[in-house]
Amino acid sequence: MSSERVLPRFSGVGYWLELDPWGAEVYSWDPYLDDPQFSGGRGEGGPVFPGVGDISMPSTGCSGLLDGVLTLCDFFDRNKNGIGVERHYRDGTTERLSIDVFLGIIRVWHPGGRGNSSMEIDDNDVVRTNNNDAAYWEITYFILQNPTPMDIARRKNCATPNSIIEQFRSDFDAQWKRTTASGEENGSLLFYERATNSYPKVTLSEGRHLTDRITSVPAMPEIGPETRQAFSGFAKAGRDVSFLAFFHTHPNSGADTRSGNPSGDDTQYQYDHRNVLGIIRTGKGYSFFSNGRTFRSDDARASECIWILNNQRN
Amino acid sequence: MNKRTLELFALLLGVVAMFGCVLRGNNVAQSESVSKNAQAAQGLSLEIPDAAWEPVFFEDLNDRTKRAGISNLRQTVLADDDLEVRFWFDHFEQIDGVIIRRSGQEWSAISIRDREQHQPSSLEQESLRVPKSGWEATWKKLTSAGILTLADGSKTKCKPDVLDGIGYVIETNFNRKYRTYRYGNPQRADCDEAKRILSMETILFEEFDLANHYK
Repeated sequence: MSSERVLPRFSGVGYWLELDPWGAEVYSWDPYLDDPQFSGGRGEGGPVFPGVGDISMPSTGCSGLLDGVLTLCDFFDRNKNGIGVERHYRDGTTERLSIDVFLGIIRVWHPGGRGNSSMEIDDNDVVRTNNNDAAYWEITYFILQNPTPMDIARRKNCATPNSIIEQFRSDFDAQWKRTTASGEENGSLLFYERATNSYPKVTLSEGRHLTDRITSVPAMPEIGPETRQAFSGFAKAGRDVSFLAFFHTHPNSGADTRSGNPSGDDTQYQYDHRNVLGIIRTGKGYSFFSNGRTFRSDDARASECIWILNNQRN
Repeated sequence: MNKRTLELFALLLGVVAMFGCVLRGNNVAQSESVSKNAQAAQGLSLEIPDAAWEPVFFEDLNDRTKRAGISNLRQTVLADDDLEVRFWFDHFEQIDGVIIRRSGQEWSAISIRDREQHQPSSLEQESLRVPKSGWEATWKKLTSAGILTLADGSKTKCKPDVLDGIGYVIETNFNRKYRTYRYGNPQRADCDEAKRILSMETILFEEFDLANHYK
């Protein structure tokens, strides 16, 4: 694959994982420069860098197979052997190299000796040069310059608020479309199932307006029994799930868009379910709330692991 | 140093001493004043539930009441026999309410209406007439329903799981004690507290003919 095709596609800069002779990582760079929220790499207490030593964890998000072996990242399939990359040195210089993928690890071959030294053939037909550098394989991986929410989630090995939106966007947008048509709230419950490393979704029945002596307002009056029913269903099926997030829409009020802030009842539901992440869709887009406090997709919390946010219970 | 110089020096000392006394007097008066205010603020005990709804609701409410020139009740110290209760209808992003005050022997009440069902919003205030049963009888009905004593809904089992919908937030400032509590969607709850909240709503609507105000 030519560099012209690959580099723009991934916008990648190679960062280089240097291993000592025993295969231990020597930490020659600072991950916090790229991600100030860097939380120590993959979950499960695994190593910081994907691709070395722990591809046995299928939940790392890099579960593609190469010759039957779990591969670093699923976008590196066999057809991408020989990807061209630019190596950026700290002195500002760059070097264009080719890499390949072997047993799930990206590596770069450095042939010994890189000078323009002369070459001689002696009387015994032995080729002699003055290059003394030994050839070696260099292990590397990629950090994307403009990571998508899914890239960040893969790197952190967890679902983040933004990655959940990306993963369920078509479904959430469909629910919003339904809300704009009916004027009623719609929503879903999202769970995490460790056994399958997946996010089961339970769609709630459409809400309806509740009325008092003054006015009538949209609501989700059945979310309580439907939440209990969802848990009961998983338990009956012997499925061990964690409640990850709940999503619902806030319909427009006439021509006006409502804010993406949670109502008192939204925050109470969140509190009663151990600070499960809240996601709201309004005419202005998506917002999140944790501990009753709203944040948007550009907030650092939107790129944090949801399980961490949910555990930060006030 | 001659005698004249000594006299001048003594005079100067006297002036400085007098000036110092005046300054000190001002400082004492000032610190006493601050002390009184602090005592007054400390004289009000606050009973605010540690509940998720509380900061969210009051952030919205205070934004509205500040713009409408309505004081923050949890920072207001009333005279001994005075009282103020606020009954708020939390309609998602629309907050309406009724405020009843007793200052000395004078009773008054106003209705608060949110002009818009979205933010930013502003409150419309209107004075209410004397309640049908009279002030004292109405107050007695409200206290019998538990307006001064109900616990916050989050601390009870009286909390139906509903997203959005209608909430009722009550603030009371009486006998130098400020309290607030909330019940969400009591129409959908089967408990004594919910019945009491709905009973208070009925009392207010019937006594002040609120249906006409909220048309």
